[in-house]
Amino acid sequence: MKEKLKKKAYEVLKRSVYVLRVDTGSCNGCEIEIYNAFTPYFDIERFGVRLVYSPRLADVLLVTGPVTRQFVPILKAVYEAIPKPCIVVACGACACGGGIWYDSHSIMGGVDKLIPVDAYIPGCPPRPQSILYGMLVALDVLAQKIEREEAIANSSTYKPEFSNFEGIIDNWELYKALKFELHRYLGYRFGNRVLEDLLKLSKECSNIDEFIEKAEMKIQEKYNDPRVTEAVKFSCLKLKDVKEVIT
Amino acid sequence: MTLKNILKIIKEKGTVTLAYPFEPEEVPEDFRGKPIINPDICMGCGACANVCPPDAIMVFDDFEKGTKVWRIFYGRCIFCGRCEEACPIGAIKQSEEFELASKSREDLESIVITPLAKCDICGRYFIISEREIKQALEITKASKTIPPSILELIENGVECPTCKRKKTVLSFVRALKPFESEKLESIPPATAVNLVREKLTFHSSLGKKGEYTNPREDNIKGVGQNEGKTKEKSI
Repeated sequence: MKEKLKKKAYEVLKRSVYVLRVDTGSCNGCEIEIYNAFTPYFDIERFGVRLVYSPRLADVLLVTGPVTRQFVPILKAVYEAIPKPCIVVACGACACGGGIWYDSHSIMGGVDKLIPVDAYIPGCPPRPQSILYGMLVALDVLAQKIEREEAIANSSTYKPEFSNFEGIIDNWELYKALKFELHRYLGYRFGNRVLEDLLKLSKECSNIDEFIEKAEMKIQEKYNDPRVTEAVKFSCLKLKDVKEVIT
Repeated sequence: MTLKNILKIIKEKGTVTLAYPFEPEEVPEDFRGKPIINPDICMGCGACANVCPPDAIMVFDDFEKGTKVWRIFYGRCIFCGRCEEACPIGAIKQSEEFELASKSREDLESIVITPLAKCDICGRYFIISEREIKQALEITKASKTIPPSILELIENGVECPTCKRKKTVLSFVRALKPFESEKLESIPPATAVNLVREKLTFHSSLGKKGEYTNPREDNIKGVGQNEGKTKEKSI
């Protein structure tokens, strides 16, 4: 793999590639990651990719930012000054499609509305690794991985979620209350993990007080974090309140 | 520092550079990468499209074809994870993929098409998908506070918002004037609602026969007439 890739890189590139980086009103997050990719740790210069500061020397135009209205003539001038053929790479969510400002009045919303773009690197900001990968995709060294996906979701084969509740948490209201409380205290990712543990535990218990005791014990054993145990304690108390209201 | 010393330090430290493109990169735990939808689970509620800050996820309804088109454009995605948080059934999840560079804009898109539900009364498509109705049925079965009469209503047939409005309005009209309601049932729902609105204003008990008066305006007029008699109203 390693030798094959190196051979291919030598075959395709043959000489060093000079990159001109243009900032069209970005927040400098992408710039930090681009310079990060040129440091010895990630080292994009292994492939002969180098930064230059004049469009006359450049082979690749690396654009960041959503292209503000004031920068439109400058970007056009830069593109015309680069000797053709050249490669244009849009780096970051703003350059690819406008980012969170895609419908703002003062920006163009993407580089491809002004000049033809050869490769897109999504990310806000993209990791140094994905910038490295994106540059190599643009230079035809590596193959593109992402593909357009289209799926038709039939309703006849659809199986609704949460059809079975067992044990203490036997209805939708209790499940919802527990889920929302855990999300509030622990965030959605960690909360969902704890929720799965508690749903497993609820099948074994017969009484809600027993469930609260066991839940605290088990979570303390598993995660060994007093903050998580406290969060589980509070959300179980809420569960008790909801159960009283329902019955 | 001599060359020997430099070589010694290099031998001790080894190579610092990552071997990334030659070897696959391992991402840290809870890495927020490319959000991937599971079309088998997705019910097309559009909660992810509502919370998406850059509108990378969008949902379009096509009432003629009867489809709901869910579309994500990864080029605009900022990988914040709000879609995963908002999804009520965990259909969209962030994977560990970060190698998303592509040569064309089309490759950065992903589309899921879900069928819309049909109204059982007027036979037209409306904003809710078929899968959402199935999910709602499951939730009503598994809940205690929602009365079972609603379950029967959904099982008997789905009504679109316009037909529902027509039904309630017609019940008012029947109470007010029993003969005209027969004519109204043959008219399409949207025009019927407008007609009934006119009729209702005609028979409004607040104004005189044949003209509609806003009760608030009436109060304001009344203030002018009764000036001097009551001090509180004039203020």
